[in-house]
Amino acid sequence: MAILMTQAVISGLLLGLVYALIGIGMNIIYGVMRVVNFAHGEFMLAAAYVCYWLSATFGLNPLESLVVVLPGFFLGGVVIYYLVVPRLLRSEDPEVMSFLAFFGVSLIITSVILLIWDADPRGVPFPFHTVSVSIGRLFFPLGRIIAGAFSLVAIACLLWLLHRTYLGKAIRAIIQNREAVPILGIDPHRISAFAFGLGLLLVALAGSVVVLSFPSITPVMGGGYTVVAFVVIVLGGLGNPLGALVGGIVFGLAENVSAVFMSTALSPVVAFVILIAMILFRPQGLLGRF
Amino acid sequence: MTMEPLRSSSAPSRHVGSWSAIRVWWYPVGLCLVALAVIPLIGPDWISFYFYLMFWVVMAAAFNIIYGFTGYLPFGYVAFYGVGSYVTAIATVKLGVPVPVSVLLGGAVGVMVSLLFAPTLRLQGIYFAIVNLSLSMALMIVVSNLPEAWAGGSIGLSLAAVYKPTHSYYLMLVLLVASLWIANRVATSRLGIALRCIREDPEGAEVLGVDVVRSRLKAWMLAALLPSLAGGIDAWHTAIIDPQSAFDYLITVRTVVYAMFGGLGTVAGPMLGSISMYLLDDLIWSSFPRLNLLILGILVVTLVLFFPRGFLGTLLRRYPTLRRWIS
Repeated sequence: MAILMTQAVISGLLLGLVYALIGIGMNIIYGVMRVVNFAHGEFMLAAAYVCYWLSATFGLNPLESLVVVLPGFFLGGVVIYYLVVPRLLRSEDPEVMSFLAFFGVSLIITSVILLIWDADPRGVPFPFHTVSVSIGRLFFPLGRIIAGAFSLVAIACLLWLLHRTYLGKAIRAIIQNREAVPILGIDPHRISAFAFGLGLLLVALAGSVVVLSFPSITPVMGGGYTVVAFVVIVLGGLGNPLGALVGGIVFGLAENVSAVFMSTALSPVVAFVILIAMILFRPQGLLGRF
Repeated sequence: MTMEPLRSSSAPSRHVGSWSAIRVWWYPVGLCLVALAVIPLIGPDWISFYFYLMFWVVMAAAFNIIYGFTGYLPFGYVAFYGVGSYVTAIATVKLGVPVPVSVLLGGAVGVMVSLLFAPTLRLQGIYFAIVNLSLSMALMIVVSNLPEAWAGGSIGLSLAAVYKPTHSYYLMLVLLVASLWIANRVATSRLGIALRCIREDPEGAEVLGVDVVRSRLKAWMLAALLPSLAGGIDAWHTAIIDPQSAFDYLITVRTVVYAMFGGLGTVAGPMLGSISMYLLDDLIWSSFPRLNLLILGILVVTLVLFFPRGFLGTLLRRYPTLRRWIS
């Protein structure tokens, strides 16, 4: 039992890091624009499918494809921002309208993936020789370790960006008070576009890296990841990268440890219970507003 | 210059929603209902088509009560439909209750579930939508993990023994009439005014003496009753249910799109919206089945960005005097 619990806890921590990486993209976007990116999981899936395509056509492994995928999604994010978000922010109920609009985007992305690649599960071959690392009697999948490492690096880079650069300061300013920002001479649209692109870049990173951890991808998996991202940002507090880390780890631990005691089919219910409890009792998240 | 109260030349009467408007457009609606009642006799092959037309009108009209009038977006709306279907199926198959009674039972349990979810009504906007979505997804997982003896597990239950398409068609027609009557009553009564106040400004509504909690709860329970009944009748008509299709989130999506397309906040809006969208959907399914999801997505984005008030809502904005005829 002790071994099982230790395995569950450390596995949960690793899973939590992956969840944090998934959640951090949505965190930035919601913090800066109060836009709930309902298509979060679908963007991740799109990145995963691009990795698959690059792997099948050029033989690139997911980590090598990052060089192409990350800038591509950043630019895509900026374009989507300018197409969609300014109109949304001017509407009567921006939060709900953005929810619905991005919901529509999620349907579009899912159907495009379905049309191009069909519903059969696709697999990306695992590029490394060791599949799992063992320490004593505990086993850890290498895919998750790599994902966890990327997550920590991404969060560290994001914190550096937000606290040590001018652009980051502008982003933090918008998160705190969007209306006051033009007074300071900052164009909220340009900064928001950058933030949206950054958010999608993080989402693409999550999608490519997660491909290493799961044997196959299907076009309908997006919704599950969107829920994961919701839980992470609600747990961690909005607009706060450290919050995404904390939220992800708490979530990962809770899910893994509960899987020791009850059937894994019910583990999504654990996620929902945590989400609902947090929203009802502490909507500002564990770490509070940024 | 004296301050004269402005008199609108098109102000018909003191009653909200105006009697002349109701009288005018209830006639075509009444004609349609009579036509629907006759369909099984003259064109039995079309029973399924018109059954689902009625079903979507009921769903859109009920959704309008909670979103259009009260301003809450229950993104897990399918939960009520699923609960209604399942209770009806379990009561009919496992307990041997006659089907119309089990449908009513489904409706009652749906209302009880809505009472269970009622504490979430104090959340605002987006949080309410997310919580509602999570609750319905959690419900789906719980239902599919119930013991097979109770609810059929993930395979579901079959009601083939009581399959009677014509009977379920007429029961749905009754439900349609009831839903339209309820929607109209909500729109033209004090409850409707109270709900619209709550949608615009909850604190202001309380200042005016509106009992926000009770009015909201009434709207919520009504909006839960109708899809539960519809789900029960659909279970009877289709004769089979399983967790995936009973809690399919595409049902919520289509309800939202159909209601928004017509225009929320009116009674005619969801009706016209669901009829036209249903026909459009059917056309797409028969001609381009693979593009269905893509077109739905593009439609949602276009609606939200350019016609947030729906077809009828945009029309009423351009020509406000039309409010005389459309309630």
